[in-house]
Amino acid sequence: MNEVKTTAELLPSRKDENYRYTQIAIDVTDSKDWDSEKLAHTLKSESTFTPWSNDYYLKALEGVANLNITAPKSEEWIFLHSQGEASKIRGSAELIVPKGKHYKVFEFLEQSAEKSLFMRNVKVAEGASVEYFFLQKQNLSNTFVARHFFDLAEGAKATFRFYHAGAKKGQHRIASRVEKNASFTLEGANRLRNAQHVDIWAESEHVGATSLSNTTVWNVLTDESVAVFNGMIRILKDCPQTLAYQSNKTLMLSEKARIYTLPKLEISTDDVKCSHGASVSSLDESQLFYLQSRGIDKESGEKMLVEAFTQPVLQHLPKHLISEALQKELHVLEEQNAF
Amino acid sequence: MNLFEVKNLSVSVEDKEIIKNFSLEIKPGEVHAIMGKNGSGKTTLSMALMGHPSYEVTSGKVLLAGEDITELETEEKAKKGLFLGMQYPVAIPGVSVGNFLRVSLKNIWGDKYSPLEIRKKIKEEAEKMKVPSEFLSRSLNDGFSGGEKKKLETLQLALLQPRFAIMDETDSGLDIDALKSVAEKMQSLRTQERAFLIITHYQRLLNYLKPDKVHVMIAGKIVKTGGPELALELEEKGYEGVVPGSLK
Repeated sequence: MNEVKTTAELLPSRKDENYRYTQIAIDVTDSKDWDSEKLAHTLKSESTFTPWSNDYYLKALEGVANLNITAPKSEEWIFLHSQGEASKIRGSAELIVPKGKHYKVFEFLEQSAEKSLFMRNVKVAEGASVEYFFLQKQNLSNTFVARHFFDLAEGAKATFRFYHAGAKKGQHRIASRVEKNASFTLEGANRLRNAQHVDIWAESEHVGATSLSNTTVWNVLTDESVAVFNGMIRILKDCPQTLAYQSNKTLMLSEKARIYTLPKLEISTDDVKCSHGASVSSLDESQLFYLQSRGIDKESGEKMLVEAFTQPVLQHLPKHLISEALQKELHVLEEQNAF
Repeated sequence: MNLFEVKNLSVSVEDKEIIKNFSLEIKPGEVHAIMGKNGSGKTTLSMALMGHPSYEVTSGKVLLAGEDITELETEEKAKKGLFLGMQYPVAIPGVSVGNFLRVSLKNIWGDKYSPLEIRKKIKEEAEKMKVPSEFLSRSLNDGFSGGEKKKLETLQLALLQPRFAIMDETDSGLDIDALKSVAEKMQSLRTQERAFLIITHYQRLLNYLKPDKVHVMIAGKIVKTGGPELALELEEKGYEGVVPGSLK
């Protein structure tokens, strides 16, 4: 019989570059969803694009343990909602977007289980497209390890947006494999407070010519919060005319907050256009002055600017799928914004 | 009584004195214009009057309707009825024009109007000024042309209805038609209870908005004051011609 291992043993150690700033121990021994061996294999082979094998996944539309999935109707969002005390591990789900189809997916993680580990594998077929929004608003005592894989076939298109506002500590890997003429957009934001620590590990691997990827991650950090941006654009051989951009923007609202930002490139084709960069700033004095000159007090002005910073992501949140209370908390309530 | 008064104001930027012992008196209903070469301190003056933290008032006083507002926070000055139409309105991506106007008016007006009424007023005024309605949902001053930004500044002037407005080069970046509509809007707001300080490089705005007084500013000081004819004279002769030695 196989010896049962805990994830603490399975997860690579801090010696691994990609786990350098974030080590999470999650006990998976009591989960039926997981096979320790497969998990170990998966986590150890994370340095390149390696989605989990298909047989390992339950088909999303057939339902996943502890995950409520609302089936798509035309033009509507597929809603993946996990909540409640139920299980410690959320498990995995696979979503296939068939040829020529366009899906919209909203995944909302608000469960109160202390620790969670989950993986999503999104396969976008030739010419298909998907728009995916992941909202994480867990309790502030929770930890998570999240994985979103996007496998884009020729001419496929995917946009993945995330917003992390909850959890105490977490690592979120978003990896895409981008085929010829396919395009992947990643726009994410972390709004962290107290001692929250969120590690974003974003990789785009280009495997075909004239492919496109565009990654932007915004951080707003208060108190003693910590954000990590571990970005990688990898362009394999024979991918001419590829465009790949990567940017990390951080708004520091406290002297005790920290950001570790590592935008990286690995390029094996000559004829490509790539950029990577990071910026760290505090609130813009001239923007604040402008608001104040129109009668808006300093505190409200600062709030407006902070909210504005993550707007590029939050403006795409399917508001109608979350409660009014949460809309208010995230400052996306209709009457606050619409005109 | 003066509606707006500046008494012996000195302003420094990064410890360099830009405005030196500057004084100005403006009566209700008056329009004053300040003209001056680039770098003469016009924008420094306007920023300091509004209370920008990078512009330090080292001495002197600013009075609005007799009340000393020198030390007030910028937002308090705005609530008292001071307005600054900025030369370079800063872009604020993520804050929509409509939302910004709504929050601004709520702060200025307090509970005088309901949110619905405020919204209605913004829409009506925007329509009157031919500001396209889609502008209201776009990010503030972001991706707008220079002229469009100035039009938005004027829209704010019209909505906020300040007692005293400083318009810093509102005419720059405007095409001929836009200049006319902005100037006419300002002219329509000219009442016996309100006054304006217009900072400009050109005569053309003053054709529509005939000033009571024109001041020439050089090196942080007013060196000459006259009637509207002074602006014409400047246009014709240049600063050196009107104020000999100003090229130094």
